[in-house]
Amino acid sequence: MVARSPEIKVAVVVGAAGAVGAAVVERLRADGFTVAGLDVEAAAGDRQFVVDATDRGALTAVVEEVRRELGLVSVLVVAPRERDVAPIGEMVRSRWQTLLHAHLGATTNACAAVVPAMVGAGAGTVVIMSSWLALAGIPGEAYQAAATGTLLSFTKGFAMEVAPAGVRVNCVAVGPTASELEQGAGPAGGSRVDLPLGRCATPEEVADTVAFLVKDGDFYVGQVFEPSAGAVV
Amino acid sequence: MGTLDGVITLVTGAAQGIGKAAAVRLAADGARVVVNARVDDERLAASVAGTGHNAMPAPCDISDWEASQAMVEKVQDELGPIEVLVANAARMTMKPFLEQAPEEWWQQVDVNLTGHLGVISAVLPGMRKLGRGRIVIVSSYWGVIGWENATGYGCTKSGLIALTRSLGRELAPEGIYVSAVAPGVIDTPQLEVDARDAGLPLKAMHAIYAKGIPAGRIGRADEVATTISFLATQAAAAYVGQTLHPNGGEIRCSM
Repeated sequence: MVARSPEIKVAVVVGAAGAVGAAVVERLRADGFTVAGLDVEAAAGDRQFVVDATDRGALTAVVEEVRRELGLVSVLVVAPRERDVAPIGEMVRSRWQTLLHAHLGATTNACAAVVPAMVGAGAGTVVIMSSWLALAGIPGEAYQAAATGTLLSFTKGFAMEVAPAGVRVNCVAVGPTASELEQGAGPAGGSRVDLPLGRCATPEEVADTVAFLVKDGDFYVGQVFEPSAGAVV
Repeated sequence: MGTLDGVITLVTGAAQGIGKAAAVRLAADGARVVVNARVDDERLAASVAGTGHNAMPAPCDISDWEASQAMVEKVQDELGPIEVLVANAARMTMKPFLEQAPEEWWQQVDVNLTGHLGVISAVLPGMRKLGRGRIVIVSSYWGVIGWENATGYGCTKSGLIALTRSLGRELAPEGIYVSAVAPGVIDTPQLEVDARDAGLPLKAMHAIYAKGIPAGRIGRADEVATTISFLATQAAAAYVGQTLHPNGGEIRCSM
């Protein structure tokens, strides 16, 4: 069995300007990858592309450019970071659509743009970032939970679709992050979130999981990883 | 040399399969490995050899708590406190529930669940003295989805997932991280038991299992050992009470 770690070491990180995305970029670069960082603003990465990932045409064009410049992409990480909080019933449709498309739209667009070439190459690693909020049940976070929750089942279904071609798709449920708790999710918002370590997991620790999946994750397919430092079990 | 340089590491059930692979991997990571198995035989000696003769054999039947206590004390007298425990030992006898003698059924629980509680209790004082520790519990995907003719084994393995959750919460504030791995079908001697149960040659059993796995193949013990190494080292702090599922996509739920 050939190890996953390919000679092709080109990665695309969507959402590279966020804390998690930036940590993933740094970690992959440290592991020898050339990384294209995509986001709506200047991001981390060897090559940076400003693009709205919810626009499939624009994203596909950027991915084509990445391929021309850097070659075949072996790793795709999608780390959407749109955040919106409202009690249920108090988010107008357009606001909800923005939240949903930032997560599900950007993720499906990125997969559609990057993965067919991976399938053609017979190898590739995809890591999709969802959220602990999709698993935990926190008051006031129902919209965020729904938007990020779609990625859990998208991961599973898409993973089944491309696994026979040698592409491994898995998900990381990120958080809670310190900033989410500060903004009111969890204890401050009146609901119980245990922090057995007395702290949240860091973006670097999320990046550790991505690095593990890239290097040694060949037998993981359609799984959800929860590096939550015990806040969600 | 490695990420676990000099870390005293006990692997139970290390005479074969995943336990043996974990011992080999953790030794390669630099750990000072102690290999446990029920009996001191040529298989345990082969595990010691597999680590480059760098492991200390510590045979005992972990279903006997006093024996586990004595084993751990002997190891700690010789090497010092155990910092990493890989709780892997397991017993499986496949039979329809109503046809299995209660003694045989409960023997699985005595090892796979009760036995680990004894070993964990024995190593905890040492970890507390160190102020840190990592416990990686080896469950199984049969603990998540169950399996016919494996009621005893299956319920111990789901028990371990639940144990991991609670123990993870309980011990994390002390710097002792508990997590688990629930492998799917892995190429280990245990598959011979399944093949026998199904009345099939081993090769046919492999093919049948691979058919149900999206990755198109069964897993290897060294792949599970890689996950154990991951949980025992850098990512340990982010995974508290969690179970990872290397199973080639055969199941995509976590219980």
